[in-house]
Amino acid sequence: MSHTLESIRGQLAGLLPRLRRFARTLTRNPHDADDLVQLALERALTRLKQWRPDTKLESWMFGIIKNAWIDELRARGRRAKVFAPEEAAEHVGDASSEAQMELLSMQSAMERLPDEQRLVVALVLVEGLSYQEAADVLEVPIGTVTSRLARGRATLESILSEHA
Amino acid sequence: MTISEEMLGAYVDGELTAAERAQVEAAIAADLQVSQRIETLRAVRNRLLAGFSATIEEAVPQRLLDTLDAAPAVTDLEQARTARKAGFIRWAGPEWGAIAASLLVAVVLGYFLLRSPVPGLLVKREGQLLAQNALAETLSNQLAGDQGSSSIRVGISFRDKQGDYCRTFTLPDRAGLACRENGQWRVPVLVRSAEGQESGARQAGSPLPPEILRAVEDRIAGEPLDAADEVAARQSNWGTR
Repeated sequence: MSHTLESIRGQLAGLLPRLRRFARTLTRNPHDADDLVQLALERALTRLKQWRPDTKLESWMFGIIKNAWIDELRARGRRAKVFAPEEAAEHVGDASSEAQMELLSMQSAMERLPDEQRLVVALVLVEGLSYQEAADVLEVPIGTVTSRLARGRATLESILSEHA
Repeated sequence: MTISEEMLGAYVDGELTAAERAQVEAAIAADLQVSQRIETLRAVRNRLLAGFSATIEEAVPQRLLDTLDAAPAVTDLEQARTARKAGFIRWAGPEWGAIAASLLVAVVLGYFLLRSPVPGLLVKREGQLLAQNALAETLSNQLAGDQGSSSIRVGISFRDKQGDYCRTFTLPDRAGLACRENGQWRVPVLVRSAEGQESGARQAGSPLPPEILRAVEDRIAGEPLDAADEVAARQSNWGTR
């Protein structure tokens, strides 16, 4: 089966909502999240040759987003916070709907997870990847996925019960 | 019998074998605590999924669709070659030469018709476009490794088939190729680049438009200069003794 550039572009376009959601689980600021997706798309388009069609395209893209996010975290280095809480609040805007409020409370819960747990939780619990797929994206053994996931769940549970 | 949190989570995620599943289900039936744990794990998963599902329903921003439609942004020569081999850049040989020639006329014309927003960096003399002022200085002095805060950036440096040094450069909205001839930087190719810098996530190395990379491919003899070659070339004032 041949994958032309056009067909891959089409598939990527179809994946955009999920790629954006994944980026939002990693970074709370919606502009940062879309910057991350844009950067990942740019990288993907220049590296299409590295995509092996036996890997799901979404898994490959999640991996690129993950790497771009990690690069970004490193680049921002010791700047204490990725962005100030007030700045995050600015983006709440007219977020009056229940869905928006729920999104914000889930995002702030996710933000409190250590980075590596956040990635596993996002891939498995939000994106619905299997443990094996998540392990492939993260380039870690499946046992690491299982244990990080259990720790991530426990942390989320206690955060969510605070506001219950 | 206690069942680990990992296993309870894997049950909720549908990751267990039939035998393991039966084990957990037996525990659920026998132990109220286990069934409550399962309910909590499901509730967390559902809440998380419901919370982020709002993002799925949002309209995708146009800029992301534009990124997909844009020509592959190519950041270095190796990638350009890979992209070409992969068939993304379909033009080759004489066909491309003709297109390049007409494109060159068009961009040079366009340049003069549209008036440059970077006045003073280029001058037309005897039918040739030459770099001057800050652009000429940057081309002569900036090494690829030391990209300062300047809006002028030098990309790939190489020797062309005549043995002259050439360097690619980007300005805020233009990209070009300059070759050293008779102590001056002649600019045989200059294109508008749609490259905006508003995206904070953009990387330091500005991608070069495919037209510039093709111009490099047409002229280059051997490989691009490495850092040491660049230093040596600069010391020789780019071959002008």
